[in-house]
Amino acid sequence: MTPEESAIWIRIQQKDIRAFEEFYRSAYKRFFLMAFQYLKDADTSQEVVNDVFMKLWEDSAEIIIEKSLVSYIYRAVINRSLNQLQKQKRDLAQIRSLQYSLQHDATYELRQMEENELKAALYKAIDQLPDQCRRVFCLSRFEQLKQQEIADQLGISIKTVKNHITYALKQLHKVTGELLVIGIVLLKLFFFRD
Amino acid sequence: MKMDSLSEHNIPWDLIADSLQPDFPAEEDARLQQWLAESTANRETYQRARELWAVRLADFSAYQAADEATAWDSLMQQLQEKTTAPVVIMRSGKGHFIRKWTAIAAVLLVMAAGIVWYLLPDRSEQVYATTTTQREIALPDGSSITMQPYTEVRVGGRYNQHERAVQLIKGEAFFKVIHNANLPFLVNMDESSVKDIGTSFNIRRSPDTIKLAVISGKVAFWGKDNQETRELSAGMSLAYDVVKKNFTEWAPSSDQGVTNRENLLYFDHTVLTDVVKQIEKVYGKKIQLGSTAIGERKLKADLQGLSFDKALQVICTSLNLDYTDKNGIIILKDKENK
Repeated sequence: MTPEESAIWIRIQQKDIRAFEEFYRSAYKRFFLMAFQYLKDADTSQEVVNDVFMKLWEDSAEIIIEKSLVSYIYRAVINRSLNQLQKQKRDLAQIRSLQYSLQHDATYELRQMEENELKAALYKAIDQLPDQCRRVFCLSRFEQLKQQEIADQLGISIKTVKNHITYALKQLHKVTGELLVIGIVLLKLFFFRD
Repeated sequence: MKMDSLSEHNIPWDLIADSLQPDFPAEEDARLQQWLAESTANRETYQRARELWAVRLADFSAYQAADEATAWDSLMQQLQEKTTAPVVIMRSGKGHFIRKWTAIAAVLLVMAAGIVWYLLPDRSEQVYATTTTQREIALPDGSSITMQPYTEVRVGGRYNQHERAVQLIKGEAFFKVIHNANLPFLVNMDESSVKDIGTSFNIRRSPDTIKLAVISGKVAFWGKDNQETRELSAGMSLAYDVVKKNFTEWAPSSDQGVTNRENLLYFDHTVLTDVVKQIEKVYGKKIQLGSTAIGERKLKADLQGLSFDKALQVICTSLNLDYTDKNGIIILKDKENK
């Protein structure tokens, strides 16, 4: 564990509710995203994440975390999500395939975590785009509006709409490029360590 | 990497962005195809952009809608439902177990089977827990709590603002409370609370009993189940049996396994200098020695359960000393040299 993770974990084990809450709030969305990737339902995803955190809090004295608190939680979220899917009898073939990957592919979990971290970083980058740029980008990508429709709605020119979308795409592409390089390094580190 | 950084400037981002949206004009598509045909790197860049647009951004709306504050409240609700003990609420509007005492410090203690309850609404509250060692917590108003091993205490975030409330969740703690008549000090334990104006006392809470010993001041010991109240002053002690729901006699000296504060007042040929340090800590008084010589005199005495005045008398009688009170500071002198 990193020194920061270690400090957080010790405080959680000491039943420091404030430390627990701080950690929860700072990390919730990334774990939610992981659960949502499997479950595609916000309420169930929240439930799964909360179940994991509740167990973490209640059993902190018994839980032994060797490598990383974050990857421990990720693993728990993935497993609970698959269990949830099984309970709902959804996509049984896909579940079997995923479970097989979990058991036999040593890098599967790590790749899932990296992909999730990448998505979380991308979404954070969208939040950090300049206001109008973000608005235009979201209207285009998520509302599926045409450029003329966006221009009309916001009272700006089509050229401005194009510039905003281009800028946003370029910024997000840069984020994926940087994180993919880091991810490969981490993958190798973990892979060879095992 | 070097090649990537050079080609960054040659990537037609406007063309790529247009291609990912509806109504992509045919002549623009032709330009795109020409660019893609130029190199593998171009095709890889385009593939990444498409993946980003179509796949990686797919869950953004759900991500944006997810609210960690709501999720946290839901988690706390779940934790609350799991515990079985009634909630001790120190917040206003809950109509609590507080009684007003005009001239005395009141301490209400409630027993419950040791169940942990986490207070929610006050997000800045702090929970302290000890494992194998003792720990002292200094509170913002100068009061202090000395926690024995395996003890948990919660201090409200609004401590010393509208209230001075703490909760003894489990274990044993010694409370030294600074006087503030306008803001009584409260110790909560599930079914009872302790209201205190300025005193020091020790509480040991286990699943079937609560043991209280008062060092200084006065307290009221209130049991919710039997609706009985007992007043204890300095030097007195009492226990409440959670199972039988009644008060029982208890003296710290008779309890071999007790790890409470009172054991610190047992001196076995202890030099006076050290005795004074201990007395100061326990009773919160200031004591000075009239000479360094008397500091070497040794005391053998058990002062536990005694008030400060009585303890002082024992010390003076045992070591042939006398004392004076100068502006609240006790000065010990050799009797013969007075």
